[in-house]
Amino acid sequence: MLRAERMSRVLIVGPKPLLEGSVEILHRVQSVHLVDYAGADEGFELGRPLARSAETSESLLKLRAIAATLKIEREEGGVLPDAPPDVRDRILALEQRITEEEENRKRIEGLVQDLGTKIQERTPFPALGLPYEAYHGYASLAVLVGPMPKDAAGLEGQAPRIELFTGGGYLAAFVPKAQESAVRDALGRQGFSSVEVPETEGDPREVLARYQADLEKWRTRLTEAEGRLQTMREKFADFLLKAEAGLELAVEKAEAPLRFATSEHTFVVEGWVPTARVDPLRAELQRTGNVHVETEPAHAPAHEDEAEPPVLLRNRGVPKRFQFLVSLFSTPSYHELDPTLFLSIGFPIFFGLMIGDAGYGALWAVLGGLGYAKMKPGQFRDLMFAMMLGGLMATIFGLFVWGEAFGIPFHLKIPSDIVALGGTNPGLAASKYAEWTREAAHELSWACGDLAGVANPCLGVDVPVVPMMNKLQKLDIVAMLLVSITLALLHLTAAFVLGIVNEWRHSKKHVAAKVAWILALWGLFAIIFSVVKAGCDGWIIGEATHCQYTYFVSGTLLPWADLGNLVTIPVVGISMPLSSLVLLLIAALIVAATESPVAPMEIASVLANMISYARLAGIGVAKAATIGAFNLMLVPMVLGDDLVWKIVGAVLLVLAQMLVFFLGAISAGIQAIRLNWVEFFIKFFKGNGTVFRPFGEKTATEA
Amino acid sequence: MAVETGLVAMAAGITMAGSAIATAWAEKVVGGATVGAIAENPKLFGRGIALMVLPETIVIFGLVVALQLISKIVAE
Repeated sequence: MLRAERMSRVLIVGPKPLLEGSVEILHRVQSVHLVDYAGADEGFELGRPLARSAETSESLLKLRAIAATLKIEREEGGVLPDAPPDVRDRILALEQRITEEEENRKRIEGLVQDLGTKIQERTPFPALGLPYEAYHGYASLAVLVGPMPKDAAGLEGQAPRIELFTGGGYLAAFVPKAQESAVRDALGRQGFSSVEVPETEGDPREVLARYQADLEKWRTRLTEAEGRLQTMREKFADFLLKAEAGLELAVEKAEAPLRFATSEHTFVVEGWVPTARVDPLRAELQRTGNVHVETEPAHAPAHEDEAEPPVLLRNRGVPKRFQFLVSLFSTPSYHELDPTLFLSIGFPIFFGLMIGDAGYGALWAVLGGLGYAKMKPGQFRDLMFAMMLGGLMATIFGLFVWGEAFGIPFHLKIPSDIVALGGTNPGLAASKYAEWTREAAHELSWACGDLAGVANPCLGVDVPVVPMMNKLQKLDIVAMLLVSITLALLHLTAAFVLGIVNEWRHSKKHVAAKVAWILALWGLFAIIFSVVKAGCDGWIIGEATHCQYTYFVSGTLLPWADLGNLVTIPVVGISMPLSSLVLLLIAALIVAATESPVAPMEIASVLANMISYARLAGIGVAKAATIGAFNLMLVPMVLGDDLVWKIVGAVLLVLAQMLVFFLGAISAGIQAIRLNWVEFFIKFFKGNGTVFRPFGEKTATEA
Repeated sequence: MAVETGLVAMAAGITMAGSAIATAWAEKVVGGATVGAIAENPKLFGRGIALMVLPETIVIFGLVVALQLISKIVAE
């Protein structure tokens, strides 16, 4: 699961007469990732396509033209390829029929358009009441026809001998040629533009009726022609789609020799085969006759530009659903570890911590589960699966760590500093408690009557879980930051260990540097906890949540560090545990020796990486504060007595909850991916691998 | 509430504002370039996003410092 499928370099050599049979087998078994022949050896040249290649390509081209004419769309997911032996003849026959039918349709369409224009040109004339011959054949008269201007009466002033005919909103003016331009100008000022008088004879009404009858007739024919094409589309769509897929396969096979090397009598195929599939492949090929198969297992590259084997990742089950998140970053190279498994563990935990709410978590688990069940396979479905797992983790954390749902805690929690004060200074604790209860009287909770004398707004649902932390209490936030940093330590250590594995065979120097970074990481971690612990030790509230957590970590992860044994570095005056100082010095020496003299400065970036995980706490707190503010305003409205305000409050509350539900998931999702990509991957993951694509696979997956 | 408490709270606020503005500005620069790079080569999506969200760490540092300051308020 951590390594890509083992590959072997394969060389297939055979006599040319067996070429076609071999291609057929390679295409069927789908286990050879072909390496294109570059054409650089004496006596060898690029292969020629198989004999039927040109013919097949031509058929495919024709078929696509037909499909385009009939507007047949290729469906997502494709169809089973099926090219019957007589496919070429059928395509030719179909092409002829469809070309004729399509030309006919285009001709009719042209006629219909033409008739439409003619009818439009002749619309003014029936209402004017003059036969067409009345408009033509004058030696001294000009005829102007056009839409009626607003004021036609003034025209007689321009030309005393003008004769006007009007009707249907149109005007025909007969003017002596001498006054034509003056009349035109006068008309033009009123926005008149003249239309052409058709060169025809007869009664305009009859002419128009004749054209309209023609138009009706041709329109019917156009519908008929379109209907015939539609019938053909329905009849042949299935055949065309199947034949297209089949022909594509055939073309792919026929053109495969273009990727091979050939001499006069032999062919050579070069490629990569998963080592486990070498023997079946050899058996298949040798059944065709005298085909020789030479294989060699992939080895670590001897020099930089040696070709790397293609990568076939072997994730199954849950990690497989996270593979797209790795591929989106980069495909792992053949010689390095596949980080998918780690991502599939890290993502849901980080997402769950940032959401940390039983309500949103459960909703995301359901929504993601539904999406995963209903969607077609693909990246989005895998993302839904990731959201489902993240939602589950968020529900678990929300129930048992923070004890809250939809931003409302199950129970009011007394701040941990007041609880801690109870043991050391009961008087101060009592006064602080009294102060806090005044504030707590406005805070929301699911259960009612948690604290005697505190009547806070509540929903009356008693979930019997005592929250360990509250996202909006200061000392609990410090505890959350410390938890985040602890996760950073574990996650980053894992990253460096993976880096060591990756570099082991490559460079021992880099291995030493990775070890040094781990030492620096743990040294810095110990410094952070020693500071917090020193604060807690002498404090009157040393039993607060974050102090308890610090004691827990110093007992489990840091017993070796002896956090109490501090040394102060002279000049700068910083105190740190002696153990940290030793670790940091060793780390600095190693990286200075193996990487570069200035590399010890990079220890600061390890610290930055660690603090970067504080976003786990940060996003959780920011989200809780946002929805907390909405809830505080809107829930009392819903719980109130006024019906109108109840409804308004409920609508606004649903909107606010949805906003936080989606925005929270977007930011938590992006940050969870980012922590894996930036902080985690960069420590060990180079990527840039080539995906294993065996010959013949493309069409098979589409089918 | 003591004056010191108010000053600490203001310091926390200024820290958040400053680091948030710095992050926004840095992400604007990187984000613009990233979208350009993705338009030319969609394969860069993953790397681009990784680079684009890098400056977010600045605001996280700000947040940590602000929370540290706020936690001083209870400790007086």
